[in-house]
Amino acid sequence: MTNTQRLDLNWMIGGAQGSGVNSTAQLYAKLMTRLGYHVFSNIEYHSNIKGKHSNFRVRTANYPIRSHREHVDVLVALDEESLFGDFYQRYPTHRGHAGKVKSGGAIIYDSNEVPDAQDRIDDQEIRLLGIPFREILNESLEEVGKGGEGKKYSIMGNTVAFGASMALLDIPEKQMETAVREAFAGKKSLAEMNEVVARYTYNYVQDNFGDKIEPHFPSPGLENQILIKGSQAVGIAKFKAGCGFQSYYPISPATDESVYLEQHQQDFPMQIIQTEDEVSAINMAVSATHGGVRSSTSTSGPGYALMAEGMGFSAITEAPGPVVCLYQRGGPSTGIPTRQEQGDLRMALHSGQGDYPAIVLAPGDAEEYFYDTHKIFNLCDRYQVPAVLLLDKHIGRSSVSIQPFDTSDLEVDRGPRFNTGEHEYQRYQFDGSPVSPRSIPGEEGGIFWTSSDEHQQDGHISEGIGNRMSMMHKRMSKLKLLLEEYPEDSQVKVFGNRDSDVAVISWGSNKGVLQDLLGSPASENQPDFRFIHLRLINPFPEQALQKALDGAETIIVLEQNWGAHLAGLLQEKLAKPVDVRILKFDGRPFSYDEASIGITDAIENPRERIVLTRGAIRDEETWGYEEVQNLLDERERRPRQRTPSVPLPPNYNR
Amino acid sequence: MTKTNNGQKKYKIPDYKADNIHNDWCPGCGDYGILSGIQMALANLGLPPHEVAVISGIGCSGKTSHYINAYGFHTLHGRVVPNATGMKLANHDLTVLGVGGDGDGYGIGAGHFVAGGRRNLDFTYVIFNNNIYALTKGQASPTIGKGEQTKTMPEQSIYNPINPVALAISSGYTFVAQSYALDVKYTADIIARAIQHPGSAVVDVLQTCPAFNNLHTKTWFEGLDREEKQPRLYKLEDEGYDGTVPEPENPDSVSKTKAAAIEKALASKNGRIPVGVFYEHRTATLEDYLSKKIPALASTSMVKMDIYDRDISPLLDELR
Repeated sequence: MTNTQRLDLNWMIGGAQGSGVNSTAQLYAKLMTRLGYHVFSNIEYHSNIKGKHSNFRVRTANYPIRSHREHVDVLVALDEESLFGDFYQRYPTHRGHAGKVKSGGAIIYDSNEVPDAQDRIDDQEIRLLGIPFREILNESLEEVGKGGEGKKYSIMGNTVAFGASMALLDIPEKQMETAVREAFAGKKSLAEMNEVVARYTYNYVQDNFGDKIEPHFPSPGLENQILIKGSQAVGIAKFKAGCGFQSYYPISPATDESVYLEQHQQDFPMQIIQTEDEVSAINMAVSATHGGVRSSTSTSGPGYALMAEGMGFSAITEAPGPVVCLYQRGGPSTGIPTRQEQGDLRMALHSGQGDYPAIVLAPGDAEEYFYDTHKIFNLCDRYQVPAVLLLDKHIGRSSVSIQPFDTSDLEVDRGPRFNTGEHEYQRYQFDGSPVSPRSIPGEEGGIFWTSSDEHQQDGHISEGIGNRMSMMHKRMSKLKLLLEEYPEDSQVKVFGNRDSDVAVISWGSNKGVLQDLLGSPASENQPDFRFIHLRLINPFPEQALQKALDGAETIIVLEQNWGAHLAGLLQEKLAKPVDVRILKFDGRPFSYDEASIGITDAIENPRERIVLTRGAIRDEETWGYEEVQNLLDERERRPRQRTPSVPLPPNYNR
Repeated sequence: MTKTNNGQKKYKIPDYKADNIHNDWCPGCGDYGILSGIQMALANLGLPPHEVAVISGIGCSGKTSHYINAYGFHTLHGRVVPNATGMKLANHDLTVLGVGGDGDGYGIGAGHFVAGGRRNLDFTYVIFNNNIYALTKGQASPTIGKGEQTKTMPEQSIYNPINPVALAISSGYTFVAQSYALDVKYTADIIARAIQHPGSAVVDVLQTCPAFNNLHTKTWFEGLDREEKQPRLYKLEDEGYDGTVPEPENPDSVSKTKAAAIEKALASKNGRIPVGVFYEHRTATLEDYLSKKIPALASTSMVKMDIYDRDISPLLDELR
């Protein structure tokens, strides 16, 4: 291979939840990041603690990537189910991942667990590395005086998998050892054992599978990279913005962020309060912002549903916030809580009773998660309104390699403030601007009242007709002012060929997959289109969007929900027909390949709905039923397989 | 407001009255007694009005925040406790007073009420307990007795009532008292003690609703309907009861005092109703715990911290 070649390596590890899938994948992604590759990794897991299947993909390339592929180049299977599916279940949910491995790809698996793997994989070109995990552990642990205790330490099977991957990919042994040591920093005996196991496996693979090892591919040598999850980017931005209060009620996948914040709250003073419910979370946060502290709460769809009244309360009392981070996921209520969906756009726009102003931003990748989070605190202070950041599980939980954030231009803007000495201070004074200077409880001369009922300029209740009209106008015109002051290039962003007849409009986390489609050398036949990423959702950036759409003849909207929520909003706001809706609502994010198929088809054969799932376009009315029948039929044809074991010995704490 | 010889401001009751606002409570409402009690307590403690935040819920009692000269937040139905919590955590130096009705606090806000006790935040929650939802015209609240029926209730109440004192103590409030709205001075004294208590304090104030509650009237509380003409209310301290936990750090001492207080709250002797301080336990507050976790909070409140130039590079370095 030469340096001009493209590296695009899709590594996947699968296994039972609790068997170390996450930690191994994180270790792998981190090492690849440090070695200077571009890395994108995402996880799929059941709503379950231990035992059910989860898988983690880590894509590595020597050019920028922001999405995952359908196929797998290297599959690491910690159990039989990861290879061949869960046919032992009454209603199987998947067929395993062996079938996704590309011809020429490799599979690392436990030959003790699946002795007949060779007979069950059709493709002769796939390199099979059957590794006896138990024996490797038994023998390698000799070095630390624990020989033969492989059963006790079977959790270290994931270190076997890691060592084998490193050998297969020809990663220098020293770098693998350093990575393992650091992963167990602070637990010296564990670090030593794992290092021994990794090194032993590494040598075992070199000795036994020398012909199957890929030649080392030179790294593009990116320096100074960090590996970050979306939820961490949001958390870091909150610290940077000086947020001093976060309330939350535990909910997947939003809790990740609060946990991250709590781990660092002593260094960046922030009070993280776990509340009794989401109603409490939003009310506490509203009150803390009135108290003068930047505040936020993080939740998912079901939690946000409970926050509706609190949003209105914040808006009518003109609180500067809070910032609500809404991590969307599958299902409107509990649904498929650990899966991906963009189903809460309409709820974010219309969550409360009556009319009230709230900002809604929808950042699309880890960088935007950071910068938009920082910015939204300023917007809340500047306009004295609550705000929603529409985030999702896909970016929230995906790890990506990026350059550290540039904070040189970031400023904290607390908005108009009351000056001590102003006489007859009125909190909601009509003085030409919809935003009145605010005082903070504790300030002398700044006493004000406020009410969730309609109130007059001093904050006391009034149901007078003129007052109601003026107050509604005051509050609702804040968003108009915001739109005037907000840079147009931050409202919508255009990528690709601006002059193309075809405009693909999308929002949030679909940004990565569409950018990859436009700019990546991964596909030979790139479709030609302009991609418009809607980053400001409310107030709706009508003008900026009209400009971005200028000259477009075919409008395609791509989003991850059943109801085509954005497409509907566009039709309402722009009075323009949306020609094609490319949708996916199976709980998994768009892969690069799916988006490619969907958009190519939408351009060639425009029609109202194109529904994608499992890497293909499906007939949405029948595929669900057929899929289940196929799986059940397939099970009939196969002998019943063993139930995979969960290798978790008792009293072993990692 | 006058100044004393040493130049310190001295506040009087009128300093805590909001100007230019019409009070629209019904004539003869028990709410007036509680409002006066709060204003009297604030004056007795000499708290500067701008250092006090009054958080109210929805209902007649919700309007209380408008009538007090202090930062006033008339929030949502049932959400007094979370709103008071957010305000106090933003600024530990504020005196935070929650005010709300029994439906607001023990009905729709019951979950928050219990959680508020568990946290032991330093705030005072005054509950206007008239056994009904007055502003919506007299429906049964969680404190009305089973089988009781006021004049606007179509049927007798079929639920068991809660006992606010027993509920507050079991939820973890560290100061729990009961008072009677028409005994303004006594109510003021108890509220002042509650504000001075470092921790979550509940004062359940029994009150009359002349519009809708025709059972628990002034005449009823004063026992004028009984043959012996003896008041139904009696003061705990008059019978030698003291609810202070003698050894605040000793769990046995805490649970014994709690048990005794709950027994007092539940005991029914000839229909007599105790008022006074049932339980008082001085122990670490939520703010104390947070200050231990976040060292910067020990010396200053969150609202006073500098947020303009924070260096996040250590967080980024961790991700390399």
